[in-house]
Amino acid sequence: MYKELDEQELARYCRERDRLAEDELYTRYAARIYTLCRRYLGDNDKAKDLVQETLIQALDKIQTFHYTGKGSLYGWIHRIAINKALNHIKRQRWRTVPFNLIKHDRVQEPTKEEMESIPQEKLLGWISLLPSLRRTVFNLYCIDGYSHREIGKMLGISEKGSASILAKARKQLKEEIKHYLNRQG
Amino acid sequence: MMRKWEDIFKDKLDGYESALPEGSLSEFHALKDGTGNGSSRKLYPLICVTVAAFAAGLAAVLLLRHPTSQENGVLVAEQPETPVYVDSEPAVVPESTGNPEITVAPKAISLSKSKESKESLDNKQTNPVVDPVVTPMEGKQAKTGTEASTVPDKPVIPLISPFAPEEESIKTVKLKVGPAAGAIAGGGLLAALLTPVIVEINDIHLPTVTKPTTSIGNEGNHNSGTSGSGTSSFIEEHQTTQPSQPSEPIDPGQPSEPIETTNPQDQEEPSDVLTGTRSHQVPIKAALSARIQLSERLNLTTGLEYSRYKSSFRYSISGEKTQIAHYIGIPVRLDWTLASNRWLDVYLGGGVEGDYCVGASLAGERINKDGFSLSLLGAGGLQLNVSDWLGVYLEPQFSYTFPRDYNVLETYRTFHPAVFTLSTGVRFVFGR
Repeated sequence: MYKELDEQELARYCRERDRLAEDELYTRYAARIYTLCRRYLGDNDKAKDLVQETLIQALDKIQTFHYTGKGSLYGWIHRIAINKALNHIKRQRWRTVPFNLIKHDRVQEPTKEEMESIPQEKLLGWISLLPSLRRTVFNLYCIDGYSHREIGKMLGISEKGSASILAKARKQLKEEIKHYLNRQG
Repeated sequence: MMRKWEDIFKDKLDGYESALPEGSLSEFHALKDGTGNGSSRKLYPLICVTVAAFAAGLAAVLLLRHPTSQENGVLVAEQPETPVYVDSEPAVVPESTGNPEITVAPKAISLSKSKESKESLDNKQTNPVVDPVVTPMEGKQAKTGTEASTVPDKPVIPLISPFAPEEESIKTVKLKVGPAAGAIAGGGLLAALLTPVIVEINDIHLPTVTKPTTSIGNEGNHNSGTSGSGTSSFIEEHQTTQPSQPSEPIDPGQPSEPIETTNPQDQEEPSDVLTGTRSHQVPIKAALSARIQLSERLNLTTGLEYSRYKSSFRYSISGEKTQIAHYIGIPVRLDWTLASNRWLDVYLGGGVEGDYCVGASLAGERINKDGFSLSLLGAGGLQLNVSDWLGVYLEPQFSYTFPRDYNVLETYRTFHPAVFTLSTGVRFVFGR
């Protein structure tokens, strides 16, 4: 019965502290939020904890959720997860300058076919290898669609700084992809 | 239009559902019901507040606590050496209320006018106290006498307290001192700093007890004390009076002024006194350290620190005695994080530490505790973060213990108020 509920109804049942509705919310969104947390934290154990914290906070604050259309419940939980991930990253204080592992030679961009052949877990693995700041900026800009201005505000860095960090993250990822494709033959 | 590789990257991950770890739903239930890890996380602020309140309360008690009159007194007769200098110049007699640093622990300066055998002297085991006064010497001969002699009314506990107030000693020896000691007498702090350096000299030998011409603290006596050397254990009680410079030896055959004693018993009693030899071991410290994160860069580091100071003193009769003093300290420091990443913090900090002596013993006997002391701390360090709440640290630390003028046990710290240490340990981190 609960599997058939749309987001609005599910949120309403959750407001009423319906335990089955809460389980349904977990079942429906936990895996995607887990992916998001893995992307940001680069650590599966921490990501697992963050998923729990995110969904518990979502249930605690479900009264503040306003349904605005399909996908709005997931979008709301998604933002909670990003905020929590950023707080976690800030607490980890990534301010040290990471070693520059990027070679200065130009790396050719992978083609569409090459990208399609790469499994998602590989992509998540490469993201987790990025230094914390690069990983955060790449996630915020390339995957979650934030602008450099927004990223700058979120992370306390300048727009140019954000763009520069993104460029380094892209280079590093392209390198990883290139090495992987070369190994694949 | 050709899609960028990042767009494909985004599409592949945007809707991707990672396989959840096993048991995550049951863990979610536990957390939701308040029985899982979440409850322990909620305890962190409470733990932080409790630890901070406990540390602050203890620090306040230690700071505000006035020593009782019983503790304030130093019961000891035997002090370590006193910088006493005897030379041919007119000496300076320190004020009786003056610097305790130049008072000497009561020594059994029981020099008799009569020629008394060593055997008769050694048979007595009391601790007579005599205040010898060294007068200017005439010609080659030093005029030496004693001003007073007092027998303590209870057994003397040989606690070492070079800086003990004079009135707290059972009886102190008043000595006329030479210019060097007179300079020291100028200020308590200066004397406190200088005295330990001066008193390192050991083994000054008086010539003999059988010679009524004996002078005190004259280096010349060292060489002239050949006759009656069998009484050296008795005579060496005077050896806390150290010469500042060589002076002319005494002619054993030449009569000198008699030595006065006010208590006849003192003439016969040897006592167990310091010979001036002491050694202080580097203290052993163990600490429980906690760090509370106040902001991203600023941390409050506190905890409890136990210190054990071990010293050895050589006495004329009983030989070497070991003094062990135990201290509990609370350091409070603000640390500024210079650089950090997920695993490592590099920081600099400064603060203070209050130390309180919780127990002290000399040769197994309990002695009066030391007083409260305050130290200034400066530290730099590396902390390896094992987890969010636990770290292993390596800390070069500089500390300076402020000088005090009461209840000071002689320990390693007495001689080294400024100490550089390299400490390592495990630290609990709160507030991350």
